[in-house]
Amino acid sequence: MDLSRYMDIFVAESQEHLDNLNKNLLLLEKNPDNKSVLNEIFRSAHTLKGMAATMGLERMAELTHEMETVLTFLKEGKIVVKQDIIDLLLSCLDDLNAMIRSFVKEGKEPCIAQGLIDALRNLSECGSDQSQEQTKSSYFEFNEYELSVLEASKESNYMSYHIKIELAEGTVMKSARAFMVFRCLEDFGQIIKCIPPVQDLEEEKFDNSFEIFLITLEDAEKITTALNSISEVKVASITEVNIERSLSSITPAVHSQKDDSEAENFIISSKALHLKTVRVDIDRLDDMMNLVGELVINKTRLEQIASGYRMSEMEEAIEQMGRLTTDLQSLVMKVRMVPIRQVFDRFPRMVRDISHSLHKDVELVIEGEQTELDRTVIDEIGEPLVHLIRNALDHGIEPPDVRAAVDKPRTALLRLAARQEGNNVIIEVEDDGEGIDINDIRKQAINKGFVDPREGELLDDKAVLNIIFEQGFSTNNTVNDISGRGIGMDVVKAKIESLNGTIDIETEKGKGTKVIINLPLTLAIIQALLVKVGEEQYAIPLHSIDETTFLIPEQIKMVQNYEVFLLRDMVLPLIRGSRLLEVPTADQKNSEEFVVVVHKGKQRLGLVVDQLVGQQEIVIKPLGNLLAGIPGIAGATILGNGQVATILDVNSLF
Amino acid sequence: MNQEPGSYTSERRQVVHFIIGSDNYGLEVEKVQEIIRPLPVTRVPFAPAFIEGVINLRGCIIPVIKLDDLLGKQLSENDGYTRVVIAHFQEITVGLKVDSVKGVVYLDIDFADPILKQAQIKTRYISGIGKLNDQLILLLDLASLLDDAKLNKQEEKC
Repeated sequence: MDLSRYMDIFVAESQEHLDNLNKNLLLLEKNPDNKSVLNEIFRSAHTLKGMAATMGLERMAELTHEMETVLTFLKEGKIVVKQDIIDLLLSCLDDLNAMIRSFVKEGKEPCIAQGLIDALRNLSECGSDQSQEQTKSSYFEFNEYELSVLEASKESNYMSYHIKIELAEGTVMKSARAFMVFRCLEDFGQIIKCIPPVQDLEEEKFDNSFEIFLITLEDAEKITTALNSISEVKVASITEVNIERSLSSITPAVHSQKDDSEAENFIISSKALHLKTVRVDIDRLDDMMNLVGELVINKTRLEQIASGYRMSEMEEAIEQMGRLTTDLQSLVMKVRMVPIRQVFDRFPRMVRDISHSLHKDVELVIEGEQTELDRTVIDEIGEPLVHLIRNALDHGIEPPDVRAAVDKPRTALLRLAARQEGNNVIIEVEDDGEGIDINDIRKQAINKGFVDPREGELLDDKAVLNIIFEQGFSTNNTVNDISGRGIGMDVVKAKIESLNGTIDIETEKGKGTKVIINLPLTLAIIQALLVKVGEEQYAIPLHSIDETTFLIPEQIKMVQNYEVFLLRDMVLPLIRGSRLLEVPTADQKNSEEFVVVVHKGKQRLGLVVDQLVGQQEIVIKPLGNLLAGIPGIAGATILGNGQVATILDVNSLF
Repeated sequence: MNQEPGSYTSERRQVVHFIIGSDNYGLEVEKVQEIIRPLPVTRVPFAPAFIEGVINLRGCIIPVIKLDDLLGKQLSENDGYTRVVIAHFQEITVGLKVDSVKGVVYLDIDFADPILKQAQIKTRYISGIGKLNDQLILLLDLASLLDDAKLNKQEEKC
């Protein structure tokens, strides 16, 4: 059988399971008693094993099998969750990851991981040695809520029954039968718990029997007859539940219930998500986007045609269609959005590893991981964030002893937060470390010639902080404090700016540092100013425009044969749009012209255009392979009337 | 197309037959995505001279090449028969403006140089020649056309 066509699915799904494992292992490290997390881990590992075996990856199957064995012992309580076990399991994940990658690249499985397999085997041997003496506490467990219901019902003289149901051998639609049982019992009273859980019953993940706990006023006999009247269903046993007995067997599991339920919720929600998603090739979404755009344009055309005929019926229909297309458009945009969780998910592990190696105590707090961003932005944002987090861990956060000395909690706080604000997404990386000494940077900047000494003294704090983003700037050899805070920040900034975003730093010495990244929701749509040069329309991205103003001929001066424009206290080099773009014009002198002041970094210049059409959201389209990379043009967009307008690349004007 | 260059080979091809100036040209149907009526063209500044501009084809931006320049022909004025042949080759989609499209025909195409030379035809961008009744149809060499287009772009960049 040719397995290659399952490759994509295999890779994507196993990646998902690995991510899941990663996340849950870290969760388990924090709550070693959390059974539901452990179960989730076990399930993921089990699925991975099955998938690996199907794809003929024997080493991978073997490794996951050994992992599974260890996990089984953990589950049964024969081994206790300890950090070295988590470490071992995590490094297994790294190896699995590497295996998958080399499988994709070379088409065959690498021979690694024997060491890990041995380590896992050792572990499981210890586990099985001490296993036998442990008694199996197989009594059913209730959570706090269920217990309170049981107690309350007892007080008000309700009976609680534990009913074991058996389905006839060979029952075809087991879930339907289970459903009928539920329906029947709901007439008698309230079902408080069933084993296995309802979801598994619905998915037919059970053998021929299941158990139900029911609170009712009716007696057992009546219930039994009612249930037995359902075909293929038989009541195997029905017993009254003795709460005292179950309580005593429950107590050990209760103590971490609160954390448990939180984690449980999370797991359940992520599971529900799985069932409802479909993988779609991003290219198809792009195609869909194109078609919807075309629909919008055609709608505009229809509107124009209809306006010539004054048919109110037709206008109504077109209006309706307009609303539908708008909805459709925003829906397609939404489909392209991906929660930033995808990026954030890898950070707990990273922070854990780095802080361990630096011997620092760090608690990572992640907020707003459900914030959504366009797929393309998500793909790009990971790298700069990694950089910022490393910086914070390495340079921002002090070692525990130092922190204790200045009356800060030994465990440092690293906060990673995302939220949506209008059409932008704000991502913040904040630490409560030692902050940046602005004066130190000022000194460095002057010493290294980034700013003029006189100018440097006058710069305000914000301007000084921005020096960090300049290429080659680093405070690496400052005596103490903030070593190396600036390394690579220019790269981070460049990346963010390539995504049409901005980056800012706020800092307070001794208190911490906050890096704020502001990103557009999507790369495909930007705000732009439409201008006319001659008869041609051009779009200029709004984020590179400072202001627009009338061109007053008296304010034009000649400097070395170049035109400059005096705007308040600025001297702007002037570029004539018509000349730059070689616009064929009838050369009629326009009564008024406009200057669009654009900037690149700190440089500014004025672009002379004939008309300002207005600000508009535009969809950026590539010019295609043949024209890609033409300097001066950043792409094209389609206007409401179906015409194409080119987008000027402001950076290339300088 | 796996014939030896310069050898006498003749192959049956299905081609789209169109007119540029006074000459008959053809392009293999596999390379033609569709044929459309002319759409408004937006000039692209800084683009090579033979690029007339770009059009909006159902949401895709497609460059239109001025074939008359490249082939040394004069396109006649837009007279209602003018069409744009949307051609696709190796990830590149372009529009070729032609005076009119005659139809799709089966032709025996000669890929042999001597015939082309005999006929005294500018052989650049022409890969073969075929006969339809008493007309000669020149098969456009889209590959070399686009290759040169890219080359031109490089020069433009420098």
